[in-house]
Amino acid sequence: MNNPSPAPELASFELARCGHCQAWSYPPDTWGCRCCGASASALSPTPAPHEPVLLEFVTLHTALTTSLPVPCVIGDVQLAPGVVEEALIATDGATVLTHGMHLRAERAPAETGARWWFRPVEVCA
Amino acid sequence: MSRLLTDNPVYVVGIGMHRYQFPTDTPYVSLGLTAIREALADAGLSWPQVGSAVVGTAALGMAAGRVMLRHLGSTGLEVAQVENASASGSTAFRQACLQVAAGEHDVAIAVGVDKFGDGRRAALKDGLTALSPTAHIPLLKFALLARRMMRERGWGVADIAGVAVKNHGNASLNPYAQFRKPRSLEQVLNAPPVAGDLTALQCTPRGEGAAAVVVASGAALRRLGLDPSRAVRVMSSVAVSERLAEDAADGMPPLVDLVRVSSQRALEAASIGPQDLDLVELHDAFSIEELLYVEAMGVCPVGEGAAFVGRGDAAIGARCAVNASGGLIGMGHPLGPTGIGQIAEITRQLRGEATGRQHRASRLGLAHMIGLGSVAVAHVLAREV
Repeated sequence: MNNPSPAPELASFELARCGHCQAWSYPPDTWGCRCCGASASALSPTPAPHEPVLLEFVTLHTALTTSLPVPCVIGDVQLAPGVVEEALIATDGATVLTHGMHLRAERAPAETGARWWFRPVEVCA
Repeated sequence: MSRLLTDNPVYVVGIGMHRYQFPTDTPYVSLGLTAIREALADAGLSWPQVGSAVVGTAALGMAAGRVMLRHLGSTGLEVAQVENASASGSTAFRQACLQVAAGEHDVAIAVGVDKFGDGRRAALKDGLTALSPTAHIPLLKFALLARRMMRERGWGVADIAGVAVKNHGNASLNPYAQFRKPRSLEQVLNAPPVAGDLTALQCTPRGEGAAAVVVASGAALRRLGLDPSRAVRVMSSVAVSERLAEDAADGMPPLVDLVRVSSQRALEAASIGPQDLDLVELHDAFSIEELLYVEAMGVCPVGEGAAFVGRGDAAIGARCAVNASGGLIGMGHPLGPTGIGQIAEITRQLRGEATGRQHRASRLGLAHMIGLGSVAVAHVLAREV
């Protein structure tokens, strides 16, 4: 998918951190700790402990949702220890991506239907 | 481990299907009644002899059972509806078996029926915003998993596509299958790309259909004079859900670990090992799944899924026929019916009645289904006579 957002807003991307077992969860407003089951009151919105890491990626060729234009790149992104989420990758094509790339969370363009997408840090620099 | 099915034998005594097909205007009632009437005729039973009906459906909505079943006669039988995503039919079958094993009923029927497109996923109503708009669409997870396996294990696109070639071939021999054309490797690889390395012919189609299975206790078998040579015993029934979403100790993703745990428990409960299986029907909604699940089930060693399928060991007539029905890729996956269709296929094979696609003389089969979430339901079936 072409990148329609040349000047993305740098945003505060957060996860949830459990005050009981210290496990991470996503999203930050989740209903409870996925690890120990503590209630939402035990969770605190917390910035990601490290730069998100791209674990895997594929190009989606077929429109699966009404909002998401294709082709686009979807990846498995490690957000924190034990937290891997499927996410939209901000790139003009998968050829510039590599496994283990560090990513930066940015507000996604409204037309994607996603709140966040992830841009390779190397490309940002 | 539950001993209910060990101590109280339950048998599949009747199977019926409505062919899986692309969406039509045919009402679900017509689809379901076709399968039920065929299952009753196959069992040699009449509707008033059935004490309970468990209806598995994922997309029809509230109270689908009575609306359909009243056309068979209002006998006062117990009716319940089960929804468990793709495992709805498997769960309905499990409930019917447990009802009979528990002594609630002598004869029960599990019915799977669905039309495409009516269902809305609860995951979209949980009050949370997923990171990706595709987060609840299984296709992407499996496309990503396929890419990971290619990178970690050196599997090629042809290794993964080979599953679709086999299963489309099997489906071409199955009159109840949605797809009836054999496909070459070239056709599978050159089909429209969907996501990553998966092409359209490596993905299960959208569709509708119905399946029904009648189960009975050993006492009912004798009392009703049913033919024991056509009865297939339900050796075990297991249902579990996914554990914490991190890779298992062996590095496998949670979903593959779920398959390992559920199939292992089902095999242990049946007092058999994976090498004893003659037949496996499994959730191959996307081709990569079959390669990983035959490993997770122990049908072949870990790391050898592609080699196992590639050298033909999963073909009809070979070591263990995997998805002899055509699987979800070839036979189709209308959700509610799918798990019950697996039971019907294994029963047909164990009886030696799968004309045109009959595996060699077989005694044991595993039906294994995954449902969104993820959940897993596994059953071991055996021919005793």
